[in-house]
Amino acid sequence: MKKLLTFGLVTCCLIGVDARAQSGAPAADIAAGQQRAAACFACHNANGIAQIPGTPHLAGQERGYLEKALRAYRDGSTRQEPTMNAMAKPLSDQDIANIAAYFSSLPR
Amino acid sequence: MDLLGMYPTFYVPAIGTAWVMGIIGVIHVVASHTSVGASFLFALLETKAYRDGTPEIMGFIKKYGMFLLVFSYVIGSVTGPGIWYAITVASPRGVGGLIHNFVWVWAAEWVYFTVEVIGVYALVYLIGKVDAKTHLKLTWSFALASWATMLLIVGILSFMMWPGSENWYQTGSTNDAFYNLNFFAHLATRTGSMFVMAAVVGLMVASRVRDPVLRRSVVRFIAPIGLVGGLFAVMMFIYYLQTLPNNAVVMLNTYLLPVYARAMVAVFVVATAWLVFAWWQPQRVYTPLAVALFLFIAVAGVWPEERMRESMRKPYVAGQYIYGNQIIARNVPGKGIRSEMEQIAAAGLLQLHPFVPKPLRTVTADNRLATGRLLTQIACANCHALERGAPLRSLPDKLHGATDEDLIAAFLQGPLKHGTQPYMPRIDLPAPEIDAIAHFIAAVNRGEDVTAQPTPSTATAAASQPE
Amino acid sequence: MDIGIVMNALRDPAGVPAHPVLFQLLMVVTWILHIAFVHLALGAAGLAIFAFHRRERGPHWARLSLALTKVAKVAVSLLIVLGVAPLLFTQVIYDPQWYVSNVLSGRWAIAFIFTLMIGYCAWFAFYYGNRPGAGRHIGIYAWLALALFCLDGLIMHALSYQALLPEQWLAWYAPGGAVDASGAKLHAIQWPRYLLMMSLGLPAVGAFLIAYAHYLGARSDRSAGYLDFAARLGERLARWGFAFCLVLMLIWQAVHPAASGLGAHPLGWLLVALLGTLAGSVQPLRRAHPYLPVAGGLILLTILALWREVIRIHHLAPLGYDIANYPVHIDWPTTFLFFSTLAGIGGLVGGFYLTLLYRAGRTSGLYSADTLVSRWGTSAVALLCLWIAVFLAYGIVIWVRNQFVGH
Repeated sequence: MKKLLTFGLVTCCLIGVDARAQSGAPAADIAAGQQRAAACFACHNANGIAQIPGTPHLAGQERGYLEKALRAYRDGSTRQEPTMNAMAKPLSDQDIANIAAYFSSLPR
Repeated sequence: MDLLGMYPTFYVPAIGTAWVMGIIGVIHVVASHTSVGASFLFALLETKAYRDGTPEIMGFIKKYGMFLLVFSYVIGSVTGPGIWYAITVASPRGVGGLIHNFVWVWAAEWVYFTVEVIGVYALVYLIGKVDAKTHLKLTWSFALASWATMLLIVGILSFMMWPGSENWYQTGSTNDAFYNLNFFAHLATRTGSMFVMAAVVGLMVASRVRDPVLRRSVVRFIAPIGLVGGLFAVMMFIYYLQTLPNNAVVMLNTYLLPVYARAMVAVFVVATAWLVFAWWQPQRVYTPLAVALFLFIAVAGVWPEERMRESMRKPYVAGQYIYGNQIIARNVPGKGIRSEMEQIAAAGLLQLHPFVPKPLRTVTADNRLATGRLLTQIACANCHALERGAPLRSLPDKLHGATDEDLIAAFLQGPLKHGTQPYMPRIDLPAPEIDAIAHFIAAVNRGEDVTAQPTPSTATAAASQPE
Repeated sequence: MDIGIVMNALRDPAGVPAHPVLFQLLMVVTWILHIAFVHLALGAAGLAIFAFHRRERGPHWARLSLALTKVAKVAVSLLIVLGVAPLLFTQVIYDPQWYVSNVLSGRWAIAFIFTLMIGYCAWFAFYYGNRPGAGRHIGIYAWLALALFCLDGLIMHALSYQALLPEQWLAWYAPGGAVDASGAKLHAIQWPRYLLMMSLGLPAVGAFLIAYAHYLGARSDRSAGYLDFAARLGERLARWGFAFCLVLMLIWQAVHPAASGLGAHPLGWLLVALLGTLAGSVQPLRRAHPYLPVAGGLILLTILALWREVIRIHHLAPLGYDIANYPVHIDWPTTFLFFSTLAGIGGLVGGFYLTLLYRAGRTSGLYSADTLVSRWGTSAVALLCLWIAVFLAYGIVIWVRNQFVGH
C-alpha cells in the first residue's frame, strides 16, 4: 500500500513538474500510454527494466528526454536506428506524450 | 514459379510441439542415462563380485538387472526414435538437416543399439549360465558399447547448438560438424551425470540387499562413484557454459537461469547429500526413499537440462543455419545451401510456401485474419504458443497483450527484422504479410474468435486442389 | 503448383552423403529385419494370449504361453531397435514424403510413441503376471498390449501409405481452402495391405515354433512331448497362415490404381506365387530341415520389401520424383565410420553375443566358453576400447585443428 502511495505521489509530481516545464505540449495520459506501449514492452519490459543486453531501461527516465528521443526516432533524420525508427513511426504526438509519461512514471 | 522447401505446419495448442518434444526427451534421457549408468554399475559390481568371490551380488544383478536394464533400455529405445518423430512433426527441415549431415553417424549408433539389445538379454539371461569370466567380458563390452552410443549422439546434439567455428560452413564435412566446439564439454557433463545416475540407481538396488555386510560393501562401493561423477559433471557443465554462442548466453542469463538455477542447485545438493548419507548409513538406505530420490534427481535434473538446451539454441534448431521456423538463415557454401531470407523478404511466405491454399496466397481485406493466422503459425508457432496465458512462451503475452496493430507491425518491422533480440530469428516479410500477422495477434489480444474462415462461399472444393 | 516440383524442393538442401541407391539398399535390407520381428512379435503375442486362455486344457498350452510371452517381449525390443534403421534411411532419400505424411498426421505420429510405450509396459505386466496359477484378469494386460501394437501398426501403415499419395496432401492439409494444422487425422489407409502386413504374424510364429522345437531338441531338460506339440502347432499355423495371407495378397493385388500398372507387375504375382508355394510346402520343408520354413519366410519378406519399393517408385516416378537425382555431397569419413562399425562392432561384438546366447541356450546347466569363444570375448572388449580410443583421438585432432590451427 505504502509503495503504491509513493508511486502515485511520484507520478503526480513528475507529471506536475513536467507539465509546467513544457506548457503547450498535449496533456499526458499515463494509462493510455501504458496501453499503447504494450509492443514496446517486448524489449523494454512493462516495468521499464529491460532484460535484453543492449536495450536501455526506461523506468523513471526523464520524460522530456523520452519525448524528444521518440520524436527524433520518428523523424528519422537526426537519430537513425532502424529498430527504433520503425517503432516510433506510427506514433502521434499524443502517443509520444503518453508513452513518455508512462515510462517516466515507473520506479527505477 | 519460385518456391521454398517448406513443410506444412503441425500445431499443438498451448504447449506447442516444443513441450511434446521436451516430455518425450525427458523420458528418453532418464531412461537412457539410467540404462547406460546401470550398465557401468553392473560392470563395476560384477568385477567386484569376481575379485572378492561374492557371487551373491550376481543374484542381485539378475534380479534387478532384468527390470532396470531391459525396461530402461527398451523405453529408451522407443523414446529415442520418439524424439525423431517429435522433431519431425515440429521441425521437419531441422531434422532433415541433421539426418542429411549425420546419417552415417546415426547409422553407426544404430549398429551399437542393435548389438546392445542382443547384449542386454545376453547379460541378464546368461548370469549363472556361462562361466564367470566370459560373463564379465560380456558385461564390460555392454557397458563400453552403451557409452559409445553416448559418444555418437553427443556430437549431433551439440551441433544443434552450433558448430563453434566457420569450418563446417565452408567444408560441409561431418567431421567439422560433429567435433564441434562444445562436443567435449557436453560429453564430459553427460558422462559425469551418467555416473550419478548409476549410483542413484545402484542405491535402489542395494536397498534390497538384506545381508548387512554385503549391503555396506556395495553401498560404500557405489556412493563415491556417484560423488566423483557429480562433481565432475558440475565442473564440466561450467566449462560447457563457456563454449556457448552469444544468443545462448543471452537466453541463459535473461530467462533460463532465473527460472532453473535453483532447481539445478537443489538437485546437486540433494544428490550429494543423499550419496553422503548412504555412505554414512548404508543400513538406512530404504527402498521407498531410494526410489523417491531417484525420481527427484532424474526428473528435476533432466527437465531443466533438456528445456535449457532446447531454449538456448534458439533462434536456430540446427547448426546456426536453420531457424526454428524452418527458414534457412544463412549460406552454407560447403553444402551448397543458400539463405532464403532475401527471397522471403521480397516475395513473402504466402507466395513461396508450397502448402498455402489458393485463397490464402494473397493477403486481402477479407482473408486478413486467416492469412495472419497461417503466417503466424508458420513463422512463430515453432517456439510460441498462440493463445493468451499459454505456458510455451505465449506470443500474445510476449507482446504484453498489445492490441494496436500498427505498433505490433512496427515491432515486426523494427526489432524483429533487424535482429535486436539475439534469441529471436530475423523475420523480414513484405508489408501486407506483416500487417496480416499484426492483425491476427491484435485480434487474439482483443479476445476475438480467430478461427473464423474467410468467406466460405468462395473457398470452394476446387480451391483445395493443387494449382 | 506441380507436386513433383514441390517434392523436389522439399528435399534437404544439404544433399545426401553417399549415392542414394546405397541408402535405398540399406533401407530395404534393414526393413526386412525389422518386419521379420514385427511379424514374430505379433504372432507370438497373439498365440501367447490364445495359449493363455487354453491353459486348463493341458500343461503344454500353459508352457507355450509362458515361452511365447517371453519371445514377444524380446521380439518387440528387437523390432523397435531394428525399425530405427529403415526409419533413418527413409528420411535420407524420401524425406519429402515421410515428413509431409508425418506432419499431416502429427498427433498420430506422437501417439505412436506413447501407445507403443504403454503397450510394451502392458506386455511387461503380462510377462510378470503370466505364471502358473495366474488369474484370468492378467490376460487384460496382454489384450491391451496387442490392441495397441495393432494400432501402432495401423499408424505406421497410414504414415507410409500417405507418403505415396502426394497429389492429395494439400487437400488433406487445407480441406476447402482452410488450413487445418491439428494433425488429428489419419488420411489414408489401404486395408488389404495393412491386414496382410499384420496377418503375416501367423505364419511367422508358425515357422518360428518349428525352428524353436528343433533348437530346444538338443536339450535334455525339455520334454519331447511339448516340443512335438509346439512343432505340430507351428506347422498348422504356418500352413494356414500362409494360405490366409495369400487371400489378403490377392485382394491387395486387386485394389492397386489401374493407372499405376501395378496390377500387372510380375513382382506382385511372384509374391502371390511364393505365398501359395509356402502354404503348400510347409510340411516337406520342415522335413527337409526345421529351419527351412523360417528361411522361406525370409525370402518372402525380401520379395515383399522389394515390392513395397516398386510400389513406391510406381507412385512417385510419374510425378517426377526420382531418388537417383538427389544431390550428393560425399562424406568419406563418416561413410567409413558406419561400415567399419557395422563390420567391427556388429560383426565381432554382436557375433560374440549371438554365439554365446546360441551355445548357452543349447546347453543344460553351465556353459563354459571354449578357447575360441573366450578369445572372441576378449577381442570384443579390446575392439570396443580401440574404437572409443580412435573415436576420441580423431576427434581431438579435428577439434584442435579447427580451434587453434584455423581453416
